Order: sequence, then C-alpha cells, then structure tokens
Amino acid sequence: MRFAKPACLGLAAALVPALSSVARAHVGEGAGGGLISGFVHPLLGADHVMAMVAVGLWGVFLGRPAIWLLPVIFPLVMALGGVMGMVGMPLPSVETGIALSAIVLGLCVALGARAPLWLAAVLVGFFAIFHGYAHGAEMPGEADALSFALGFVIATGVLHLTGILFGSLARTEPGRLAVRAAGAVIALGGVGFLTGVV
Amino acid sequence: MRRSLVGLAAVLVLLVPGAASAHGNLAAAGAFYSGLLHPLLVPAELLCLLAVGLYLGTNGRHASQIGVPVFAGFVAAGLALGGLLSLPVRLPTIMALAAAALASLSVIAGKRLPHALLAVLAGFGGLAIGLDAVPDADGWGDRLLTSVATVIGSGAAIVILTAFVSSQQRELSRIGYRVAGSWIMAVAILYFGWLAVQ
Amino acid sequence: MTRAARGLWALCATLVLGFLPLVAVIGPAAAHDVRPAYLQIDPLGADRYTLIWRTPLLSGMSLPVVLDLPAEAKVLAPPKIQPLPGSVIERRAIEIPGGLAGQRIGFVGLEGTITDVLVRIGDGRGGQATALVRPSRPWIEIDPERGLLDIALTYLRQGIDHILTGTDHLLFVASLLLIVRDWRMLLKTITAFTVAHSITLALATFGLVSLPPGPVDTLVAASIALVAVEAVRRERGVTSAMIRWPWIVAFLFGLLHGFGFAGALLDLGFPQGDIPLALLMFNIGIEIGQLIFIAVVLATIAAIRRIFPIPGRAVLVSSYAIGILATFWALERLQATFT
Repeated sequence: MRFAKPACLGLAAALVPALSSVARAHVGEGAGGGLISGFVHPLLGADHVMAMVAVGLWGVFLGRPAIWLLPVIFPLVMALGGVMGMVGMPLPSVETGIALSAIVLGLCVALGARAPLWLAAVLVGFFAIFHGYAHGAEMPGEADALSFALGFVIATGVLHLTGILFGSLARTEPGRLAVRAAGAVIALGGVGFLTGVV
Repeated sequence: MRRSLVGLAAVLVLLVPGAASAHGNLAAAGAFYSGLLHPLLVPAELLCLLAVGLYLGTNGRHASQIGVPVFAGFVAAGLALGGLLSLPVRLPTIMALAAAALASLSVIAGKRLPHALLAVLAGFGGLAIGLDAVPDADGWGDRLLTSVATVIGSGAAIVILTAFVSSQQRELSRIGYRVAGSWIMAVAILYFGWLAVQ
Repeated sequence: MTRAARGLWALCATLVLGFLPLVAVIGPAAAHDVRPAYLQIDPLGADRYTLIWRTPLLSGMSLPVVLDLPAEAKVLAPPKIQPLPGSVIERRAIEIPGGLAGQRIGFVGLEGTITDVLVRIGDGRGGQATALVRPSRPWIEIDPERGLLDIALTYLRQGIDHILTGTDHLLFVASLLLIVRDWRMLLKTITAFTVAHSITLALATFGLVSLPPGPVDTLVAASIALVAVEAVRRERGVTSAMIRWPWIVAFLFGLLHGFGFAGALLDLGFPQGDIPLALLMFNIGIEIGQLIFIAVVLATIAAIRRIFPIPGRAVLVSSYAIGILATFWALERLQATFT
C-alpha cells in the first residue's frame, strides 16, 4: 500500500489516547491523580518556573551542543537531587539555592553570556540539585510515586521547551533584546525571592 | 499452496475465540481492549515501551529487525510466566523501569550497541511488560484474549514507535530523542530513590 | 476464478438474495445484541417517582445487578416484573421525602459486569436528562438539570464504543482496506461508507425505515465475506466493478451497516426533544472510532513495512481469514434468526 507513512504515524499518535475511552480496564485509575499533582507541583513555585525557563533561554545563547545538553543534564541531576531530598540528606539553604539559580541563570541570559560548555553544564547541574531536592522532599508516600515523578519530569521539561521556543526569537535583533530583557526580569525576580520581597 | 493458505487462515480464526462471536460478546471486547491498552496506560509499562522504542529506533533498521520480534516474544513469555509464578508485587515495575533506564541511558549516550546486547535489553524490557500486564480476569478464555491483546498492543506500539524514530533522523529529532531519554531516565531515578526510602 | 472463490460467491449471493424477502417476514422478535441496562425515572406527583428498570439478558441469564435506592425511599407499589425477549423490565413506584434531587442511586453488582447503565430522568414536563453509569463508578447522583453538553458527550462516547467493540463493522472496514490501495481511493471509499450509513442511521432513528436486527446482522456478515472474496480476486490480478470502484460497494453496504448502528442507538434510547443532537453525536462518535481504527491499522502496517519486508502473500492470508470468519458469522446469525 502506498500510503504516506509519516502522516499515518502522526495521526495514529494523536488518536491513540482517544482509544482509552473504550478501555474499561481499571489500569489507569489512581494514576491520574498522581500524574496531575506531579505535573502541577513544579508549576506552583514561581522561582522554580523562572529558573527552568532561564535554562531553556540560556541554551539558545550558548548555541549548538548546549541547547540540547542542558535540557538533558538538568532532569538527570534534578532527579538525583530529588532522591537526596527523599532520603533526607542534609542540604543547606535549599530555598536560597533556588533563588540564586534564578539570579545567576537570569543574569547569564541578560548578558548573553557565552560560557564554555563544561562550565554551563556544571552550573546548571549544580542548581538542578536544589530544585530536585525541594520537590523530592515532598514526594507522596503512597503508590502513585511513579505517576508523580512522571508528571513532575514532564512539567519541568515543558518549562525548558517554553524557554527554548521563546529563545528562538533571538534570531532577530529585537528578539534578542526581548530574550535578554526576559533574563533580566528573571534575575530581578530571583533577587526578590532571595530578599523575601516577593 | 492455496489449500495451505486456507488452512492457515482457518487456524488463525480459531485462535481468536473472542472474535468468533462478533456481537453479543461485549465482555470479550472489554477484555480485548483492556489488554490492548494496558501497556499504554500503566506508567511503568509505557515508559519501558517508549525507552525501548527510542533505543531500537536510534540503533538502525537491522537493530529493529532483531529487537522488535524479541521484544514482542518476551512480552508473550512474560505474560505466560507471570501467570504461572507469583512474583513480589513491585518486581515487574522495578524490572520495567530498570529496562527503561538502561535503554534511555544508551539513547542519551547516542552510542550504537552490539546486536547481542540490544536483543538482551529488548527482551528484558518485553519480559518486564509481560510480567506487569498479567491479566487478573476470571475465565481462562478472557485471560487468553487479554494476553493476546497485550502482545498485539505492545507489539504494534513498539513497531510504530521504532519505525517513526528511525524514519525521523534529522538533527532536531535526534536532540528530541535524547531529551526524551533523559526525562525517562529522570523518572526512573526518582522512582528508585523513592523505592529505597520505602 | 477458482472453485473455492466461486463457491463463496454463490454462498454470499444466496444469503443476500434469500434474505431480502425474509426481512419483511420476520418480526422484530429476532435476537438482540448485548446492550446497556436502562433506568427510566419519571416524576409522579410530589416526591413520588416511577422507576422502569430494564436489564438485558446475557445468554438467558439476567444481569446480576440490584438497584440500591436511597434509605428514605418508600416503595409505593411492589415491583412488577415483566420478561421480554432479550431483557427483563421491572416497574415500581417509590416515594422519597424531599425528592430525588441530590440523592444517590446505586447499582449493586454492576462493578462485576461490563454493562453500562443508561439513566434517563424525566422532569415531568416532557423534558429528559440522560446519564451513563459505568461499572467503574456504579452509582448516579441525581441532578435533574443536565446540560446539552452532557448528553452530547454521552452519545459521542457511546458511538465510539459501539464501533470499536463492533467487530463486524471493523472487519468490514479492514476488508475494504485490503482492496483500496491509495489515499484518494481510501478517502472516497471511507466517505462513501460514512455517507451511506449516516443516511440509514438517520432514517431508521426517526422511524422512517425499519429493518429487524437479526437479518441485518446476517447481511452485514455476508457483506464482509463478499468484500474479502473481492480482495482475494484482486490479489490474483482479476479486476471487477468492486475492485475498480470500491466506493460504490462501500456505499451500498454502508446503507446496511447504518441499520446496525441504528439498532444500537435505538437500544440506548434518547433524551426527549434532543433526538437530532443525540443522533449527530452518536454518528460523529462512530466516525471518530472508525478513523481511529483505520489510522491505527494503517500506521501499524506502514511501520511494519519500514522494518520488515512484508511477504506478498500477507494480503491473501488476511483476506482468507476475514472471509472465513465472516462466513462463519453469517451462518451463525442465520441460524440464530431461525432459532
């Protein structure tokens, strides 16, 4: 059959979720609540949201390998931080770390800083630990931990993507300015969180 | 030859007892769909499916030719084994996430693996999904139907995913696969951390 | 054309021709399919209600579900049980101080089945609300003011469910896919099928045309066998009107399948005054379900082809499998119609 394959695949991908309407199985039940609470969790903290978006934005200025390396490294290290939070490993001044991450990453975007790749990775990884720690400490105790983790990681990833998409404005000169301005706003927000003004 | 074809077709028909009475058997339809969608609705199975699909798709066509049948075969084996053994409750989930973590790790690293290793990993993932998806229906007819549907569902899903990934090999797509791999890996890390705390 | 194919042809032709006169003769007493249970609640003066509780018979067994009325409910008249072919109807009258609004009616035992319950609540002024109760949540909280959206979603979902659990309709579509080989032809064929079954679904729903379900089901099965035979002929390099213009066949048989859909929709019942909406949504649901099926099947086949070389005989084997199954159904249903 000479059907256009990619179109076919895309359609199927879009329609498969709809199929679940006929699944009378109880498999999905209970998972929904954990997924949603996990998804909402990172979106509730403004400091967290801003730092995530900044990661995406900064990747744009850093160019080719960084634009994917940062969103790959961040979830992994964040997950490790989450485990540290769950285990209850002592980590000093988590909230300060998160606010600092917004300041530093926001500044990097605002200045259009072109740090070496290893430095950017280490910096982002370092802050990711704080973000993960804060959420890991609040992971639910019961059976839907997996759905919670899933929702949590997806939300974080979506925030990165938002940053990357917004950052793609930076191809034009006014766009660059807008992106750098956004970085400045994020850094200012971070200062606000650090000093307790916001 | 024609006669053998008719014979083969007849055997196929007899193998699907639920299909033999199209209407009048909504129960069979329910059993079929619950099996079909089980791998897509249970988070651990879905993650394992996604990771193995990404992994096979990024390893080239020959890898898929080996990996897909091995995967589907081991789903069937897992379903049969799980029906015979009584395993610890969380073991299939742990296995599925371990497979997902290993597969996504190699996606992130972007390294092609030797075919023997690839087959082992695909088989391990399939086995985990099969063990996790063992139906709990009453009659053996319904259980068989649900199991067959699970093999079909996970097989179709892995084929579609693998074909899609291997057909989309532009740079941006490849970045997307790595990011997806890191998300899956992060979920697995969080889950194992949570498990360690329990 | 071989002897086997000719034989199948003859069989199908006999079925189709032999059945047309029978359709007029045999009454609507023919076997029904499994369908949802059904609870109708109508107000009967202040705080009093009549309840009509119809449960389907599954191979002669009544549904093991018991109504769980609110504790305050007083039974005014003992339940009257009336067996019907294929279902049992139980009527009773109850009184609930303060009315039913905000109360809960449970369906004990429903969670152990796969049957849905369609609840219709009359408002005493000719209007009705419809709700669907599923085994995963075997109770309903009565809220007499239900919006159009709820009705629309209920029927949309029933439409999707009906086509995705109706193996024979799916198999017909699958056999069409075996004949159709490119996108344009697929589009034409599916559109023709859709238009045709929408026409008869609407006509039958408004009671303008009616056919008994038994013979319709038999003819539906025969139609699948016919298309499967054509698919085999096509593989052999033969050409025919059906192979060249599959959309014509899809249209003709689509008319037949529409009656099958109408049977399911009539079994569901309607919200009073909203028949067009329910019909539209049910039909849309059927189209969605059909597209899901086509998309999944084609995507899977396309994906397999990317990875493995598909043996040339695959179409032939599938055609034979579909043809055998459909012929079996046709005979089975033929027999069920007479017993």
